[in-house]
Amino acid sequence: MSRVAAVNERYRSTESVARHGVSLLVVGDEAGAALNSAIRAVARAAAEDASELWENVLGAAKSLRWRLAFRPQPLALNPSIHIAATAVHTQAAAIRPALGSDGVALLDRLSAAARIVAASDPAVGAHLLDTIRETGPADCLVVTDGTLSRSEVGAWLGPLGFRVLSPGMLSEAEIIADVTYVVGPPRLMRTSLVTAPPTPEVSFFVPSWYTDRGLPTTLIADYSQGAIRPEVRVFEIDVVERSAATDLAEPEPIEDFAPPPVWGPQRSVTRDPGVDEVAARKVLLSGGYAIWMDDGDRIRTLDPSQPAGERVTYTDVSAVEPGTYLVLRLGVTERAVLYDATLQSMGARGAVVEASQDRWKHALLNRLRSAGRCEVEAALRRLGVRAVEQVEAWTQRTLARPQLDSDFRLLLQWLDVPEHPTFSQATEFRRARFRAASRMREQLEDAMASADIDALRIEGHVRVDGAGFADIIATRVLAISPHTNVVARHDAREPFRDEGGRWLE
Amino acid sequence: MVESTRLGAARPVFSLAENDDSVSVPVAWAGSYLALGARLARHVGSLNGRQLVITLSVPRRDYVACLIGSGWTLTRPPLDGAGDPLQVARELGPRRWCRALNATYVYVGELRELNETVQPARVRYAGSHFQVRSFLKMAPCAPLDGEHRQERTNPGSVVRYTGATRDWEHRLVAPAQDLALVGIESRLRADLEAVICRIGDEDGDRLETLLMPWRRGAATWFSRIYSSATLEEAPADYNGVVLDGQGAIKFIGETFSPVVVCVVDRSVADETQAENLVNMRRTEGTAVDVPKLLGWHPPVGIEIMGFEVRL
Repeated sequence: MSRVAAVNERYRSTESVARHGVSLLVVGDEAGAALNSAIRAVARAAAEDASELWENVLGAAKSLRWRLAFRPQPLALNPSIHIAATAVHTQAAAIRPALGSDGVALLDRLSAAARIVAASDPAVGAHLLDTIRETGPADCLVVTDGTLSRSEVGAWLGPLGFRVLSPGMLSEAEIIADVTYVVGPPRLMRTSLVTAPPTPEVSFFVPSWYTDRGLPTTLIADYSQGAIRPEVRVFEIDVVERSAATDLAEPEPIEDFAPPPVWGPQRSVTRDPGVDEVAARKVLLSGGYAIWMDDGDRIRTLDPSQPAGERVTYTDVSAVEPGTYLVLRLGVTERAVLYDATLQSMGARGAVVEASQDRWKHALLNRLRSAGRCEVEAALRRLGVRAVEQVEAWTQRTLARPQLDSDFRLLLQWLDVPEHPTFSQATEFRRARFRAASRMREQLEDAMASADIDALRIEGHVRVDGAGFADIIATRVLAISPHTNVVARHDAREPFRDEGGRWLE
Repeated sequence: MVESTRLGAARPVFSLAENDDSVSVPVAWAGSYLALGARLARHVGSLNGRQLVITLSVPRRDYVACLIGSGWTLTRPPLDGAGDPLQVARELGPRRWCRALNATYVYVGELRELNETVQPARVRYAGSHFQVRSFLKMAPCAPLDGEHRQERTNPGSVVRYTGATRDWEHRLVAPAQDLALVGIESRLRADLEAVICRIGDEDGDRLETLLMPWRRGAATWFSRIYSSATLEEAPADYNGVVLDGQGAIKFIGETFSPVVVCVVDRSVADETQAENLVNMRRTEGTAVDVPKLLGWHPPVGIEIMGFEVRL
């Protein structure tokens, strides 16, 4: 099939689903319902306590529930259910001594539910198998929520001749089939399964205890003409009348369904950062890493779906979100490497320019130290400097100069630093920095070209040799803290070990 | 010019082939995107200091930016100043740059000397000597870094259908050059290989011919492609900019062309840039009903969001 034909099939499938809707196959699951109900009870207790005591138990239990919703294969082929259930017992045992009798009762209920879940094949699996057998391997696809589930579900259905894919594979593969069977609730899956479906028919398999029957829409749908909002047809399979276990006051918010990150004791710091500090958020990364991410320069990211040579790019900090891959150097920040590379590239001029840069930056730093940030900002604003909120960032060696020529001139005047040659040397440094950045991008591209992109997708992180510089990791963002902290400037963006993302991997 | 009332219909008007060697497939959407580009090209003159930002969410990004771009380049009028070579050469005077074409080639270079003392008149131009009458058309242009010659591409089915054949030679020597495409360069270049043809015709046009993006050593071009991965600053001084995909759309804040089209590929999971566009519409934009404004209706499966901001 040519690319045009494949693209055209995607348009036809999209039109078909937009016009005729999708099916939701809801499968009765008593064991899962009991676990779900126990998790909700623990979550309520944890919210009332407002303590971090329950954090890991809840993380482990939600991780088990997540696997139940997305990995329906029989237990013999489902190692992750057993592992997740064991984690629940381990975490429960760890907090048991600290609990009162009410807490112990909740914990017992949760442990019992986890034990039952781990002792019987997931309910969805048998029905999924019946359905796809009826359709036949040539006419259907099975889609899982990600690469890990794909490899597990694939180990089950692949030998029977069925095609099992992850959503990421759908954008590349040329696929011919009539129906896609998706394992998991629609709103927890990629929007594209509904808005850019691979086949003209799409059905979702969902356990009965998951009560959200909605479909995802694109972010622009609410503001656009031609918005895609397919109908949902619900078919119930083996669903018993609502049992006491599923009878809950209100549905769980969708964002609470996934296992949570463990932030540890953390709250927002409201004080302003000092001159050598920055406000930053903790970002949990795959592979047991984390960074403090400040809202400054753009950050290196990698898009594994792009062709080799165009994978590494700069992204605005505000655009980094869970799922983004960051490219980081271990033990050192990108900024520092770039600064050294820039000076090196300037040869003998490097020392001259560095001295000139240090002069005005020190002058600015002294003013900030003596008068304080507010005073300095106000003074500069009165002079007509536009980007005054950047004033502290301008003291960093790695930042060449204010973006606007007029801002820089006014700043130099105010600092009593002669415009010549400072202005032109800062500009020279900026040009050299652009060139150095572009060379570094190429180096990183080269490094990443040798990296195992499939491993990156499955494992979430990959480490490559730094070729003369510090080793490089590409790693997936698992979570970004809602809290802002103040950290030393030189600590920002340097990866460190942190296991807070363990339930998210 | 492209008539979107005919193009927007569900019945395909055009077929598309991946390249010269593959089978062509009738596709309804190709006509829709061409028509949208044409509508925008006509609308750009009436924006008066406002910027129209169009976001399209499509099932897959393939060909979309290039088709919209082709609709644009086929519709934008060529620049004034092109005409009879002898007259243009006289008016221009020596040491000025111009584009010229004959039956086989398009040239760009410096006009060094016009010699009317011999019959027929001759020019020293683009590094060689020519009889002025060997050229069919000539137009002044801005100086380039080098003098170049390229083979003429001949228009086919779609250029004819849109009526752009009438002034094709004029377009080749005095193109509007007011469109930029930003995206993954290798993908955009691969899209250019595709051949679009009106159903029933035999002589399709490569998208390369319709969009004619700048290449190293080109003598003429209609548009320009920028790689989003290596771009440091958004392209300036264009009337239209197409931002194809996440990596390109992040330049929206620094793109100041009157018309911007953002192509969001729904088969890609990352919706960060779509979120930025929605925020931009909410905070500084005035919502626009695109079908009303442009008379262009999205086919089922294509979402379109439009808003205007002050430039």
